Amino acid sequence: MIYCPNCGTANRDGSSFCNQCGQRLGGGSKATCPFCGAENPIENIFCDACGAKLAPLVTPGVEEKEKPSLKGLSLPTKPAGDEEEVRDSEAAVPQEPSAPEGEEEIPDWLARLRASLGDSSEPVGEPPETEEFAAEVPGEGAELPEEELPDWLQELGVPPVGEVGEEQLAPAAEEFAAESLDEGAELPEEELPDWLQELGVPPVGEAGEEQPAPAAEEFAAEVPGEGAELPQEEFLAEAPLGEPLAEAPAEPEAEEVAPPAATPALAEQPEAETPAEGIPALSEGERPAPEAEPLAAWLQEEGPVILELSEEEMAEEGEGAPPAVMGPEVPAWLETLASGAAVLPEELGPVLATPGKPTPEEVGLERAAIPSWLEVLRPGRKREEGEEAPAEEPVETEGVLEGVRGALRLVPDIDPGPDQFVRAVSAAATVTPAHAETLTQVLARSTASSVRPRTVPVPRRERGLPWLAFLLLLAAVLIPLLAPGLVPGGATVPSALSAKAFATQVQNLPPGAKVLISFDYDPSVSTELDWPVREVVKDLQAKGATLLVMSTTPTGPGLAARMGLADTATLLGYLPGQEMGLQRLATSFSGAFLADYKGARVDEAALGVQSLEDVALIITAASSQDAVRWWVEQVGSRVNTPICAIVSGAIEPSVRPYYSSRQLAGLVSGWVGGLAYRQAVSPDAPLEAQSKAAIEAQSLGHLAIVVLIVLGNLAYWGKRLFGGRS
Amino acid sequence: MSDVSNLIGIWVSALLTVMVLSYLLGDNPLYRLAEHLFVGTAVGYAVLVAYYSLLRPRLILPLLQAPLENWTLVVPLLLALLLLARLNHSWRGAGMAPLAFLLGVGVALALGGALFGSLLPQVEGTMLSVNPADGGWGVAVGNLVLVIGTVSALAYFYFTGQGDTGWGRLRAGFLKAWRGLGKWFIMVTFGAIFASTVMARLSLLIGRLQFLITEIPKTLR
Repeated sequence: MIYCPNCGTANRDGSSFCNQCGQRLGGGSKATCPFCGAENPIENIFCDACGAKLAPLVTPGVEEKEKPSLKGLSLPTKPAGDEEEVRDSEAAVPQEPSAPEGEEEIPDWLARLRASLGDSSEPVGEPPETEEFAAEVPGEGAELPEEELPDWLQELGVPPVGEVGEEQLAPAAEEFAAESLDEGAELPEEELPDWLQELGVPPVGEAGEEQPAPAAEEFAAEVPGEGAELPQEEFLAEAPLGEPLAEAPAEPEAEEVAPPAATPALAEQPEAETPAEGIPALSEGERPAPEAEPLAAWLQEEGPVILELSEEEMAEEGEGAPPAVMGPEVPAWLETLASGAAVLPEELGPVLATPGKPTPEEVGLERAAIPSWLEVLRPGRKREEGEEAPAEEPVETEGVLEGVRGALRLVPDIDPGPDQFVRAVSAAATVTPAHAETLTQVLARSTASSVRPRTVPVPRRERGLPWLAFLLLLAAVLIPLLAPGLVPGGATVPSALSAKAFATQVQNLPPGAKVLISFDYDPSVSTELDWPVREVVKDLQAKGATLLVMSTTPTGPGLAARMGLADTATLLGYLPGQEMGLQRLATSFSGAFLADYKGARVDEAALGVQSLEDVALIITAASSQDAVRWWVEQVGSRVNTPICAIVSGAIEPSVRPYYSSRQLAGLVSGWVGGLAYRQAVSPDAPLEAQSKAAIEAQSLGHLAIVVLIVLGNLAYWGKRLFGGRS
Repeated sequence: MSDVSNLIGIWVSALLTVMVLSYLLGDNPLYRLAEHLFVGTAVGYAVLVAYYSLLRPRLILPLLQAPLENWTLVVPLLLALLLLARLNHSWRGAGMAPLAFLLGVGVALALGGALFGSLLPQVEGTMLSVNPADGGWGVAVGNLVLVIGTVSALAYFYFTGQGDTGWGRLRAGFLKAWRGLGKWFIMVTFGAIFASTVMARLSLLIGRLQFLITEIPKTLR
């Protein structure tokens, strides 16, 4: 689908013009994003650069300005201009299709024509606005100054005022009126539905007055002056021709009207029969039908449109008609409607052609019925200005849209018709301004105010609750530390099978066994891990084990040195590479450490360790589960040396599966795990006073946290069940 | 001298401990100062350790003492220098090569290790006997809960299985029940992780308070 940059209508792929408004589509047209200014392909719905919606909000691009000024629906209708001016002046003047104000674009074929005439800077053949043209024809014999003549008229050889008398065109208008009445007869106005009247199907008798097409044809035949021939088919194509006129032979009429300079007789026509009065000259009394109502606003916006010439007509007119003259794609039903064939029976034409003839009912014709397919296309009623919407648009109460009304429209401005297609088009057209308005309001706001989080006021009576919780927890921790033994049973150390397994591994080491200890934690958890590590090291040293100390973190060797291991053990230092370093260590111990913590060269032969298989036990003290996982995955899967871990309590649930799967031979978790290890190694040894106080504080602290959680939940549910929101 | 340095160390650490605990009053300059000191000291220490443990013995000294024998060390040196190019916005692209090398090797290593070090052993670890004759009723029930929890937790992350046919609906209902059960096991696991974290942090608090209570009075004697 190709979305029209002007009205947002979805058109079929490959469409050259919008079937709704006639806007030129496709090709190399660009759509400029209204928000960031980036140029996007015309097919884009959203901006490539900023994501803004383009289809409804798109602004005309550069190439779009070269579109032909002809657009709108292919209805044989009057233009969107002033009705009085149209009636006064456009009978013999080709009516300029309603183009946007200030629009000076010309079709490509006109540009080429202008170029062929030698001046590419001025529009050639572009008919001026009807009223302008009428004003430029002050009267017979008046000498229009050269500079006041539009260049395009000068180049076309348009004779001075008086040479082309307005009355010259009146006979042609009469001819057209007669022809159109013959073939384009129409039902009386009262028999037509309102909306069909708004479509601008000209009532009988007004075809000659209102339709600019015959005048355009006449003008096409008359205006070309000496030495400059404006292709007649171009005017034929530009003007909103009705079927009768399209079928009418154009060349004979062109031959009948000679250039003004060569036909002085035309200039001698009575001044009273000006083109503006030419159609009324059909006579007021001969009007068979009352004046049609003005076009509906939605149709006036569409404006007139050119009809495509058939291939046969194009062939007849020769190869000079450029493709740019081709009108926009017009639905077949509209072409049919434009021709009047769908509405007006042919036999009605002669009946209505002559004033005073009986109405269709009088001649036995049935009232024309609106086909169902046409009924579903009936547009909805546009809401009047000031008319309130059926429902109040909601106001956003929070978020960046706070205070914006109508961000999500409940009801579009146009009450959609019965058909979903019409409803969708109406909704798209009305959502667009809503979006634009919303975006404008949001962008107008200051960023700080829009992103500032809303502060929820805390009731005064609840402001002290956090402090109460802090004080309760602090008291629960401090009391056992200041006065140990106050908590009955608080120093009971929970047993842990994993700690017992760890102790078993240590106790089963042979004298002089080599044990590799890796300090894989940082100082932030040293308070938790230092004590259990120290306990294990003490037991290992008591067993006479040879300790090899290393670390996979840069801060680990410092922690080991603080325990005095730099003097009592071989402190290998930092092993870089984390997981890769461990994989290398498991593959080959040789070369993994070039210098120890003190900078001395590591003598592997003196150590008696060529690989990790020569080590009796590997212990990792880790504060992250990754470190344990690296040891298990990279080392444990390659060597048969048992691995034990001393970990922070925070990661114990993540590490314990490795112990359950026997990938870890033992596991000590935090302070409590250290105490359990201590109890497993020396069941009968009394706890130190400091350890006893710490375990009491830990127990009482846990109890305080549980109490706080229970109280908090009770308060929450009590408030919710009995206190309401207050 | 060592007593003096030890004394200063104890007081500085006590002061920093109090500064960090001042966060209970809200974010304040004292807490920020302690935080920045901690981070800065840790980074400075790590840089020195990396230099003396890695760069100096493994790169600089070999290149200076025997450059022809160790010319291959130029390759990691260039890669390391290219990593520094990421600091400059216009040269950021040059730093992609060593980064890609590191990521590629790391991912390959992790993949192999995860397969043979975690996945297969963990799957094997869930193949447990639920026969009470093997280890008693307690062990059997424990193993059964472990197997059910593992399978249901895995089913929670199985997002397909919808179907319109009779078999499809049956399969979807079966998976839905397993997913519901797995959700509860996952919630219990998260609760255990939270409790362990609280316990670990409480241990840290106790350790610092114990330090303040026991070490500071020692320095005043």
